[in-house]
Amino acid sequence: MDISLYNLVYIITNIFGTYIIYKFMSVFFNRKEVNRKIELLSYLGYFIMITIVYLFIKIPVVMMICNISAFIGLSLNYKANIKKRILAVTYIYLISMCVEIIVIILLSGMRFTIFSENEYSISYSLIVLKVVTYIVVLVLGKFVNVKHSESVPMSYWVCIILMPVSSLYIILILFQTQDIMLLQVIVGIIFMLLINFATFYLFDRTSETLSNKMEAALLTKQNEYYNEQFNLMRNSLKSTRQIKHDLINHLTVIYSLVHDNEIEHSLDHISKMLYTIGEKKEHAHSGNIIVDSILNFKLQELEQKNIKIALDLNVPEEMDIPSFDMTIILGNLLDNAVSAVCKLTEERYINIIIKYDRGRFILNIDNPFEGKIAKEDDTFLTTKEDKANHGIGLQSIKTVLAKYNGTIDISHNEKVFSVTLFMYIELSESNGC
Amino acid sequence: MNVLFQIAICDDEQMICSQIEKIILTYFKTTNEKVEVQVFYSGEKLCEFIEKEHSFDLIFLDIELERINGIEVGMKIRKEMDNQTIQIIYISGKDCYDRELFEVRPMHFLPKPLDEGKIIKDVLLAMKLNEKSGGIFTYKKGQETYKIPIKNILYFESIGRQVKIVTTDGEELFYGKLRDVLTEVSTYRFMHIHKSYIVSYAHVITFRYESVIMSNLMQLPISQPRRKAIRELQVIYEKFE
Repeated sequence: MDISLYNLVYIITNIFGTYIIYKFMSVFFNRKEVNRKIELLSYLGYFIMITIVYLFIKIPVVMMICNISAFIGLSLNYKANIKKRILAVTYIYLISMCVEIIVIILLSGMRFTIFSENEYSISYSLIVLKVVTYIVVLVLGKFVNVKHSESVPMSYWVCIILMPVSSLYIILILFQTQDIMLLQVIVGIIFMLLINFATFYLFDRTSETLSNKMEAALLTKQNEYYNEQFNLMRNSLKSTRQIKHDLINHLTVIYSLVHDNEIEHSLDHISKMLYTIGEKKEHAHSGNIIVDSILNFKLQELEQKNIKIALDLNVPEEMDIPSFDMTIILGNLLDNAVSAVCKLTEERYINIIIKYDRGRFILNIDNPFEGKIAKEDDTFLTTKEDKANHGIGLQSIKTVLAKYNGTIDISHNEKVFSVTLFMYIELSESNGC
Repeated sequence: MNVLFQIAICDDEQMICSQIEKIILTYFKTTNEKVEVQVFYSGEKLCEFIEKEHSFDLIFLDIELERINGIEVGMKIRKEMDNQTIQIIYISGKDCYDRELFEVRPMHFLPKPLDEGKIIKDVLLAMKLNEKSGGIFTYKKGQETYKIPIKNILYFESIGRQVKIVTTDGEELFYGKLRDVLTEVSTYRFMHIHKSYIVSYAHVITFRYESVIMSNLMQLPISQPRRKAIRELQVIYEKFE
């Protein structure tokens, strides 16, 4: 096969085209936990495959199938759920296709069908095409919220995906229709593209609103913890005053008892005193305000619900982690444990170990449970009624963990559920604390 | 193998010392393990004893000691004496701890009033950790065979056809493969973090996702494909401690 100028230009522009696809993928996916080597190789593979398919089989529908399956393959480089993957691939394909059709029709004024090899070959249009697509990708890249759209509920997703999928169908129909003016085709496709841009924009806004909502909910929760901590401190101050007051009375009694040689009575009084002091509630006071606030709030709740708690807390006063992240982790994990134990009638306990060791924050919560555990592809599902608001707990924990290169290990036997969380946090430089 | 496990208790409150001593001795009366407990009422005495006579396997150390406090004693043991293997358990009336205490890398913190169960659990854990690094590593150099205690080994580094072994006392080179070293030490908590490095878990002073800092302050890389596995390994180690 002799390589014509057109094919040569195609190969060269396709290098740029592959880069555009990469940029497109980055609009949708987070590249944080990507294996760079495999990523590079997969794009190289994509480039080679598409070039070969293009040079030897110029049938658009074959190209279409190849492209879509290649996009799905490329999307596997990134961590995301299946909903997002489908959405990304559909959008990427649809938008690049629309742009391609518009540019080619505008530049060549010719009409091509998708089931037969096309004859069209104007080299410069390829360059124009890639540049236009690149600009479109750059514009889409401004919508940063799409990346964090994991929490978009299923119903929203169905609405959103409906747009590009039906557009794709309508565009194919437009090409099949013979007695329609070329101008009408172009206008139709431009409108399709606009509709999809609009949906994309709405999708971005929706993701933003949802994540804002979640953040606000967390903030409220955190304030609740702080408030509780404040109450606790106030109460403790009050009780210290009370103890001081009582102590004077008690000592006066003991003094007079000893003075009268009433040893039995005085010992009796002292042991009663010891008993009352010993009864004082155990609270978490590691000095780390956020850890203490959350734990104390939960401990109080557990006490009211008659749940036994074994707490082993070894953390420094200062840790290099925002209270926001700590609230997500501790709050969610404790809530889950509490709700599991609340369902039980006996053996109500929670064991908590929280420690900091050599650059690592390690948390372990063990609690008994009863009933079934809902699990899907290794992810635990919520068994709570209100599914829209629950089950996001573990998801947001995972988002936090990603920041600290952390991991969560969830295991259980027939009786006990055990969660181990592990994060890398270095000791913050001592700044006068 | 029954080796004498040596425990020191250091607290200026005599009551606390005798309480811990009693708990430990009462428990080990019923078992076969040999345990020796020594009591110190000041940080100076403890430091002096370690410097002059010998080391301990485990120290229960009060934070709020007079003159030299528990933090200083811990720092002295780790930094000045460069002893990274003594397990230190801090005991304190408070239960908030500042970052300096974590720099000593204590095994645990025990709040007062002391819980008998926790003390025994900690002693048993310290014994287990000691056991884990209690072996001997042998290597050949020419005709001679050398033996070193595994607990003194920080890491192994492969350099061409040789292996560099870095210990608390210095470095040695011998002909061998890192792969063979790994099979020999794998039961003693060593991590193969990189194709050229095998490090002792006990001698890491800071863990990061991409690297570790060893007790001689050398920073060694964890190669990218191994990072997740090394993290999982740590979770397993910490879970069963």
